[in-house]
Amino acid sequence: MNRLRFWIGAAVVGLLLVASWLYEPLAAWEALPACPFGPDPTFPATDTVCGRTLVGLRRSVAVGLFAGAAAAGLALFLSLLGRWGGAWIDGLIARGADLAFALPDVLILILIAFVVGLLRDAHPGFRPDALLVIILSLTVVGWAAPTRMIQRRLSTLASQDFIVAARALGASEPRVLLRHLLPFAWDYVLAIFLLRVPATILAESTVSFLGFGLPPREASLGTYLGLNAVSLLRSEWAVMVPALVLLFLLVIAFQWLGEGLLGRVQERRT
Amino acid sequence: MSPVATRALKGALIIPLTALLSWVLVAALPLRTEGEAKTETLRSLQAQLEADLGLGQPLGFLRPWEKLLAGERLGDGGRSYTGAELMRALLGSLRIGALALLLSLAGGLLYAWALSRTAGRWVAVGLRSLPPLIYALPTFVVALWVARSTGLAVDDTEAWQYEPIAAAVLALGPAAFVGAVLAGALEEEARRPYLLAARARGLSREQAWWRHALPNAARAVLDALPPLATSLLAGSFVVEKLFHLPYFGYLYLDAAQHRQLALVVVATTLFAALLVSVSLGTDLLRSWWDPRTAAAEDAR
Repeated sequence: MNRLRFWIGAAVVGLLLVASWLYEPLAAWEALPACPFGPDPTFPATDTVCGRTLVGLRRSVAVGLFAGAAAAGLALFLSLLGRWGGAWIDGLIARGADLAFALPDVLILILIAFVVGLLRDAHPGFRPDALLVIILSLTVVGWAAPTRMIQRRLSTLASQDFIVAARALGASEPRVLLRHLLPFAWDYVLAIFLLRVPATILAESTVSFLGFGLPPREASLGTYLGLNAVSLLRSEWAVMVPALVLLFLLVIAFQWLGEGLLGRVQERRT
Repeated sequence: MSPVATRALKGALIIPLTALLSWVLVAALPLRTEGEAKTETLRSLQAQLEADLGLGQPLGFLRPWEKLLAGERLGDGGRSYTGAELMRALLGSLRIGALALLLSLAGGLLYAWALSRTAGRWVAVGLRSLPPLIYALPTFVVALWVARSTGLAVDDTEAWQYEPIAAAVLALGPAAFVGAVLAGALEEEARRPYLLAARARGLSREQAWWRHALPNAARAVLDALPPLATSLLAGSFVVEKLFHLPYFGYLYLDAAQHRQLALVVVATTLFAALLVSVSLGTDLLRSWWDPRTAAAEDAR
């Protein structure tokens, strides 16, 4: 079941990405029929609903993958630092993660967007890349939960016989961490990263929908939905439904991918 | 000092700390340009830094709170609020949040009950796949869909009519979360011998479920209350903006969008206070519901 979920998730993500990568070149060569959903309401002269949603999907995936990877990488680094630094540092990192975990992602993301906006107003030369800002912001909010999960996993692994044996044989702490603990934690970290991706995509789409994410010209699925929210209220389904369906499919597919992998890791452990 | 009191004290410390940190964050930003401010926004920012945030004054971080307590307006231009107006907005959000919490708990209970009644049948498979599907739906998508049929609040006087709808939209995701947590806890309880003993003494399956399994499984839901409050708070921004409800989440978004420095500082602190209160309330509720928790913490 886990294997099936993993492969279905991977296939859906792969298909969506291929469609999003191929759409622009194929549309440029006029190899595709006209977009059945019509022109984009924000930029009707230059874009279609198909183009905007498929390119938006690519941006949503890019944000999810990069921010998810950065958050998982930061979490792994902090967890290893905690184990290397001893109980006090490990505890400090855990308390910091608990505190960050207690605050809603959206609130912190709005605060960061607010600060960046203030700096942009005060210094006209300050023009950070919007995609980079949102990826960094999502990394700032996304490290806490993976850190607690990886800390627990490392703690469980550290009590295993082979780790005790390595220490008894005189292995230094960095060697125990990097040569003995880390290889057994990789698949778990990968599963956590994959599970972080849908959460990141959802958080990004929510802040973008609220107007604190990517700008209209570089729209992700969330920005697109926020810009065209009024279309749904006017029952203009064709404008909204493709983006809604793509967002839903993307999140579900990444969830299955992550849960499938995590399930297999847990099966192997038991 | 009891563990709950210690945690309350630690939690209470977070509130002034948030007030101070958010003030320091805004005050430390390099927003003051040399000479005369060139744009309207910059002039507004500089005025706010001095008048509302007390920059350069001793104990300047208390300035926004002093203004609110004195009944003065906080904020710039047409977007300023008095303490009473802020409290009214906060109460509106709390009303929606409390209703959404009740709906989430009721929905979660209904889900867990339905799952236990249909265990082993194909309906249970369908029920089990519901929470992941709901998690994949962002709150704003559900809110948009509902707003299509119900419409939006046209002005402030209509807002209260939309509170139950907003609460129901807000409760959907958390209800799935509570349902999944409760169902998992009930499945664990169902394997314990005391439940078998209760059935052997003649209790029906339903009686054993309500009287024995549910009160024990409810502890898991109590533990889930703080993340639930966090999720409701995140969702409140969306529903209040979408249904045009002029409450605290809407006010926060508006303040952040229109660079209202002091309002953002005050609102962030009040949000932290709200989350700390929920966490403390959960601790108290847990000690009352299950004295073993308090005893275990005392022993530690």
